[in-house]
Amino acid sequence: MNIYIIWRVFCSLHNSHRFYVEVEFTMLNSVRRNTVKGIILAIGMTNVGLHAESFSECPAEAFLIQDKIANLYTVQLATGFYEKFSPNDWDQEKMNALAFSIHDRYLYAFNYYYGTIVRIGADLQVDPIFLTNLPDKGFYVGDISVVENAYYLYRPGGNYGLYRVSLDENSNDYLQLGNVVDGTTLNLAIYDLAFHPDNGFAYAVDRWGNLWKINVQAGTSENLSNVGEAGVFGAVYFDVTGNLYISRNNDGNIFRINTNWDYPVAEFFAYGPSSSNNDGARCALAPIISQENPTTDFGDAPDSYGTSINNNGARHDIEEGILFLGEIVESEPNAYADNGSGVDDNDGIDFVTGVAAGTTALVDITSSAEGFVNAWLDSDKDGEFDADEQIITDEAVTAGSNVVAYDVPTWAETGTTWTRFRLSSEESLSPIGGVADGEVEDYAIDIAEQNVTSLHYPSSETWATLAFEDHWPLVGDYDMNDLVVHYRLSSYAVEDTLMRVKIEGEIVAIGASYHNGFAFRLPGLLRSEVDTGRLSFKINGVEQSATPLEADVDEAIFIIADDLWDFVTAGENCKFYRTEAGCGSSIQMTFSLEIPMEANVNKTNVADFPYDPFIFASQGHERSYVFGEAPGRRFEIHLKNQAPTETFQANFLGRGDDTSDATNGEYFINANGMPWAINIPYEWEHPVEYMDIMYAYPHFHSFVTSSGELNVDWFTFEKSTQDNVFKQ
Amino acid sequence: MKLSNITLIFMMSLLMVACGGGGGGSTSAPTPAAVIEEPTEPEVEEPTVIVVAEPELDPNAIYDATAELIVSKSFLLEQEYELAVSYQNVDNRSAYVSVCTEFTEGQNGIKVNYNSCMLRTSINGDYSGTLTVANDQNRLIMAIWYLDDTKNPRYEIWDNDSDTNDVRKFEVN
Repeated sequence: MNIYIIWRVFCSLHNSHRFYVEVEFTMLNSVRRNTVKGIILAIGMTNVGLHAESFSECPAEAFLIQDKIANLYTVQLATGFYEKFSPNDWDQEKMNALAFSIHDRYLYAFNYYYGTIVRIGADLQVDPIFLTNLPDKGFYVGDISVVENAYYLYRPGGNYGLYRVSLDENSNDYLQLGNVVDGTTLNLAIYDLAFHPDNGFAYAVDRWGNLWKINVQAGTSENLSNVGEAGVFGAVYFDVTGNLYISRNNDGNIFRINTNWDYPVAEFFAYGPSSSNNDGARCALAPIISQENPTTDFGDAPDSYGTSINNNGARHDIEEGILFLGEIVESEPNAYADNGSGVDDNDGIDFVTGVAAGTTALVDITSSAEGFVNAWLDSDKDGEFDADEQIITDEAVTAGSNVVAYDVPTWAETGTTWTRFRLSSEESLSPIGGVADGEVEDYAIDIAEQNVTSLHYPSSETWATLAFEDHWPLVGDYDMNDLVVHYRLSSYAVEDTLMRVKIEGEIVAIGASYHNGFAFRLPGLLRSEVDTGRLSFKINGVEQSATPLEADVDEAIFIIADDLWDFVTAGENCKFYRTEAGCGSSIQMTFSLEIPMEANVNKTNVADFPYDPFIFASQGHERSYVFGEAPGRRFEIHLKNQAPTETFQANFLGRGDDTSDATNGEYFINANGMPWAINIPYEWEHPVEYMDIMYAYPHFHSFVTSSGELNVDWFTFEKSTQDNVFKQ
Repeated sequence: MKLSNITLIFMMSLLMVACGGGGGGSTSAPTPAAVIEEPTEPEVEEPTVIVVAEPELDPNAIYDATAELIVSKSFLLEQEYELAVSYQNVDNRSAYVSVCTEFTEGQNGIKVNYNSCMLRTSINGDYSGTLTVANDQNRLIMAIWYLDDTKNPRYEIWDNDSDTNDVRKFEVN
């Protein structure tokens, strides 16, 4: 049982210097909240008799200050999730022009109670800093430069303008407020500004959506673009890569503007908090999602759908821990980032019916609490979720199971595609962007033809295993790992007409130095019956330009690889791929084949599962001494009593230990009746290198000698000797 | 001559096994020079000479190595059984039928893992077909969802009788 330990540390040194720590333990099945929030360490006291404590690091969160009686919030810009940072008894009046100083790691603001700027510590202590020459009105625009330790404040109007105050106690003008330019000369309808992480300029977006780049030394501004969004942007922030985030007061929407572009425009980024009185600040040197303690859930679909943070992918903050799909949700710093837990949190959507073009389909959505679901199906398989591909819109769901019907478009294309389901308390969502709660789950699914019957071997998402001994026609060592392939098969038929076949797999192990190719023949199917125009062949998720259909033969033979060693490598100091102890690696080759048929292929003419998987010798590579020259494609090894293909050289049969007898339908067996390949409808763990299968699977012999009467489940995990099977 | 060649090959293969070099796996295994060129008349010389007789099958035999294992030439080592599945759709309702291996029975009723299905089909009438089921799967579920009543799916569970020699049937009426 995994146990997650969650530390929540709250520090409240405000006034009374109280300090308490809460430690919470939780089990796997509860909502995992592995964040460490608010760990705040005192760095020490500094000058001018101030006592607040600095932040220990450059925080990934943004800060937002709101309301007449001030409340300070932390905001996850990636999702808009915010939570109150200041205590209920903070008892501070309105503040504005919030700034984070990277020079001393304090927050600064203009405080209307003191009528001057204040420094705010990580402990939320507020210390006023009294300045001379203050104008008679407060500031609601301001930030602290990254390249110099100076606070810039702005107020439009001829009597005001842009001011600078040095916060560098070693400077001659320390804490002296100076007017850089008057507010008529620099006349901007802006409500916050933010300093770029490295170029020294401040940026702001005015109420009409104009993006301004402000030279604070010269007091000049340059209009870079109109970002396409108007409104009062009361809180603006930078991240370390130069993205400017602007938060609109009236609806809380957060937009992202890449200032590195020639003509920067705003893209909707997240649903954040709204307020009439808003000011924000953050440490411009931090990425917007903490790499160490992320609180964000991402999807899994390819990035063309908008999945990673760079592509403004769909993402949800899970810090609140109340609303999610299924039983669990996991946080990650970005899409495709493995958080190492090994837990699959894609557990909230059950496709209780298949998805067929032009039909009504049902899906069972498990929600942890009340919320709204929006979902998309890439019906045209173009790699994007388009507006007309939304299948579920603003659907209210309750805690538990929710069966929802939706219509699959008549124009949906058959085959594998992606769906995206988003749950949130926000009613309407787009397929991309961040939101402060809920979860996103992406699923690869199959769009089928109407009235299709699909058959799956061994089932729709489990693996079968092929294990070859490749020394044929000589008897090998029966470690059954010279080639190990996981695979699954699906066939789709409408009544007696075979529409489609799908073959998916992964190369699990190669315990051989011989070079083998791997292929599937679909016995009974002719090459000419395959719709080559719609044929899809992917290796490691990438569509291959070369057709897998073997040329110059009548039968439909699909070559997965001419030489599997072209796709996998042995580990460091290892001879083979995933067969020797200590030679683990991740799976290096996956493949998928979608094989649509031309019209009128009768399914009864085509062989049953598992069709005819086989290996062949790679061209130009020597085989054993039984062959005078490299036999190449003429050499094949099939499952027991499976006839070879038309390319096989018939007189190879009977050589070495092979006792095939074509007249009796006996192929690829030796004098003892043993084959060179076995097929197991199970995600089988193969024996380690040189380990006779009988020591890894003690019941195998009994199964064989009883002709399948006894120990029919000899191949299962439970019946294995785990010390003798390969472990990654 | 033929026999001696075969014997030689057999001995060499034993040698290779003894060296741990089986499976073509071992580049360190001795690779004798190609002593046999293309046989001149291999197809004519059917291996009737060397197949002395099919080795005796003994279900109770204990073998020290898989290389000694003797198996019926007709036994394909298949690890599955056939299952005849049928559903009689009395009112010809528009429905969707799945037959799957993984499901849980909890407080909130049955929950099926639809990623573990062997059959999925929409029907407006009866269904019958044959499935190839892995030997380790002895409990299956049929889930029937009616499109005119999505609140009330029907579940039927089938348990394998591994002792039976008859064709296994999963029939739902």
